[in-house]
Amino acid sequence: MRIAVCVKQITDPALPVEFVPAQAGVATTETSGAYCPNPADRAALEEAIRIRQVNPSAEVTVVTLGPAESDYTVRYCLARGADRAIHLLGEAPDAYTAAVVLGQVIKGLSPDLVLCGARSLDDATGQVPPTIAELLEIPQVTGVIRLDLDIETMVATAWRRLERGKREVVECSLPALIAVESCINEPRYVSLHAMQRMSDRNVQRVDLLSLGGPGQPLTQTVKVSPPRPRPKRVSTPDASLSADERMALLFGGGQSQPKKSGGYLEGPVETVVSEIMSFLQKEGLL
Amino acid sequence: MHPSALHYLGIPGQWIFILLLVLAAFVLLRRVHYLIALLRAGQVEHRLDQLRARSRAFIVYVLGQRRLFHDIPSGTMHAVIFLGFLVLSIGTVEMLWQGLTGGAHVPLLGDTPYLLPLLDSFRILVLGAVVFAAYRRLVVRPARLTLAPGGLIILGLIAGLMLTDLLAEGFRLAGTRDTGWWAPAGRMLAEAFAGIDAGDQQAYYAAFWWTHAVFFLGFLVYLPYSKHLHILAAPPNVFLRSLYPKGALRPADLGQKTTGVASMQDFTWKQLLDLYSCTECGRCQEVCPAHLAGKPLSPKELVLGLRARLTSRAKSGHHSAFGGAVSKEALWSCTTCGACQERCPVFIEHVAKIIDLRRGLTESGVLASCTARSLEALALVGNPQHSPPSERKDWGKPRGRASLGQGQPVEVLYWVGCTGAYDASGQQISTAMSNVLQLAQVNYAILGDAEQCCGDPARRIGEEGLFQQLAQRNIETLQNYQPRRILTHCPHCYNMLKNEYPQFGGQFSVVHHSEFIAELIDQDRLRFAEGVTRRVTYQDPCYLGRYNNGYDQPRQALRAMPTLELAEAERVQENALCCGGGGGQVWLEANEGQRINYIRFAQLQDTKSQIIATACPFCKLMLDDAANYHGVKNRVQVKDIAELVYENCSLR
Repeated sequence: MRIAVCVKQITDPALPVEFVPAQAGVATTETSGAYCPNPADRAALEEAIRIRQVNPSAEVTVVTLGPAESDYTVRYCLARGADRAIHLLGEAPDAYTAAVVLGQVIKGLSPDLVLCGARSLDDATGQVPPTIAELLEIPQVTGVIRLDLDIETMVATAWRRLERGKREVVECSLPALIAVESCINEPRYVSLHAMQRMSDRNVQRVDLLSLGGPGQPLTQTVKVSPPRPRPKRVSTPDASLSADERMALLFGGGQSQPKKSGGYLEGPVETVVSEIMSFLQKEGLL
Repeated sequence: MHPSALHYLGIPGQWIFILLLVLAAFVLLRRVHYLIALLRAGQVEHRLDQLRARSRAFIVYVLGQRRLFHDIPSGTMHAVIFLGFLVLSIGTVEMLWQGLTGGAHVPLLGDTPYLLPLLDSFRILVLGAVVFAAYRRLVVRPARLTLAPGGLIILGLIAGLMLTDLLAEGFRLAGTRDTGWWAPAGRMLAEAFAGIDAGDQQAYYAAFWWTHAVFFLGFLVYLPYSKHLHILAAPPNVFLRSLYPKGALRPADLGQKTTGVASMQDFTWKQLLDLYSCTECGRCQEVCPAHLAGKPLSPKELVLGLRARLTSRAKSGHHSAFGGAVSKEALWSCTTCGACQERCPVFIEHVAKIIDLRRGLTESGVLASCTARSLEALALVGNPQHSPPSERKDWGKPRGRASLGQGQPVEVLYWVGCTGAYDASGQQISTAMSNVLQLAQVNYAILGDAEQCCGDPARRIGEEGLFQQLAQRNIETLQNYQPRRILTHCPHCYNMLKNEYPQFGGQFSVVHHSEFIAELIDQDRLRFAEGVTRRVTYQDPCYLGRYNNGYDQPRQALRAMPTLELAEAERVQENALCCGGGGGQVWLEANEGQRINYIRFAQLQDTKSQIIATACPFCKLMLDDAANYHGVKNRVQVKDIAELVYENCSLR
């Protein structure tokens, strides 16, 4: 069984960023670049490694598209247990062109399973995995938070996360593309020593230009701007209170406002639990 | 006639004795050979330097039994048995010689009148000590002792040895009508047995002599299979004790394929000798904060688990360090406070083993997710809080504290540390400390965003590769600035810079702020205001106190302030209970049991102090959290000494 995993390197989201209009994007203000693998992609790799633990014959190949700095992520993936990695050196102007390049390489691997993170934390388009699946003409399941594989019948059962806590269970035959959410698993820690120990032997570096370069983008960035600042919330004192109490609340930060009965349950444990249960049932969460 | 000179079923007693002795010696030596072979399978470590210091330690801690006297009754008991063991070995040599020769005395030693009263009185003393020991084990049952057959078998053997020796002596003297004034106990027994028929006296003498001999040989055989192996292993173990700076862990060789311990052979031979030396006395467990809080760690059980793992013959030849012997939860419960090592009478190095095992776990990625996230943050941005490096000096912004320009000579480089830079509670300390420096007109500077985590959390969690990378980066930065002195308020940074950076070529003059403040007070550069007196209790941070002997300077600073009255809590100085924050605990997930900081806070609060002072940002965080939990935050303030010094300074 061959598994291909797409892993992208992103800038550490904890770092402050500023807008760079010239690049029509954002960049970190930190002098030293701090990169990490995209969390959802990391989870996809973890899922692949776990599948291989159960099926030792499986082979995990990581495909990374990015500049030379992405070598950090390539090493990370190998240290975590990927059998080999293909590093496509270069940058794609948009999600579509990235998917085309990745799809081209993945097609060459003829994988039984393609695992991707559902979306990257930086661009967050969520378009790359579906586009790859379309280009490879294989089924796709997105937003997956649990994945079971039946190797005998080559059928994947995937739990999709829907809105309001709802779940959808999907079965599909392999080969297929599965785009996972980062909560699907807890990736193992990879020690720095393990990363430094990784040799280059299993890395195949391919210059994007040698593949004919990125294609023509289908989208164009028109404008990049910071988000509209969120208005600061000021709590309105309950009108039933006296003027004096309302003043105290406004100036005191509003801590002492009596709780409204809205969604707050009080009473003996049994009553509270049964009310929670009926709420969950009403919402179709059980 | 000597019993070994008699014939038994026609066989000379001498022959029987020799046969028994050879058998016992064979079993003993075979076991010792096996144990030594296990040691030799361990990693290389050099422990034969500084022979003078080693000899001194041997005299004080082996012959002087110094550490046993923390517990005076049981220490005295042990010292009596130990001394008895040494003195009575003269009698044993005599016994062996007589057995081999059929009754001849050892030249110069045997049958010397002035030795017998000594031997005789020690037989009685040891017997008394054994009775006391049995009483303690069976009736008092201190929590640190595990009631197991092993200890009682040993006590029984010793008591048997003494009793048979005395009885044999009694019958011998009764039989020979020897005056025996030099053996008072023997003489008394002899008089009691005087009525017995002479032939029976000889028979009893022979019977007790042989029982004594068999007890002795049985002791030899049982010894290397029991906790009494410490008789053989502990004296060399004390001699070979670590003379490394107490706070420094040994660097792992990153050139190796893996770091840390995954199988027993990954330990060094000295770490394995430690396991043989354990006497199961449980003194380590008694002082362990994790054990006190009901967490799954007992240093004693850890050592015993590893020993069982080592000495059980694994057929595969590969002894995994885990597999039930040691649980991951136990390893992650350690605060590395070092109380166990400070108390251990035979100088077992518990913390080094725990870190070695943690290194093995980290290498294989077995970490709680919150711990993994902190380590990843360390690797990405150089601090476990995952805060941007550019914000590292923001705490000083309101006061316009400049960071250091390269090549600019500076008296003191203030190493702020991650907690001091990013954490609100830590920032209070760094702000207070920098205010104190300004009041005392000290020419100082900070590194700003050139500073990174010192690496202590990484190293204590077992991420040696990351630690070494951080250490090397920091050493490079510091060497560029060449500060005359490095000042830090965090005992973990202090210990790291002072004791562990030299391993990587970083030799700096490092001073903890408690020392620095004490110096400033001595030089009269700080003066304190008079006022209403408040009571203060001081919490000893482990990495300042136990690891670096910084007990006096912080107390000196507190005593210098007229508005503070120092009241000591229980368990202070080398016996202090950890706040629960060390050894990376702040970033670990050890949820079992109670919280150590709540327990420690309650102890400190017993003094009814209004202020709990400490000299460590982690102690402050942990105790402050505990004050919140106990609901006394409005009555008890938790403060760093720097904050108290600044508040009370009359210069401001």
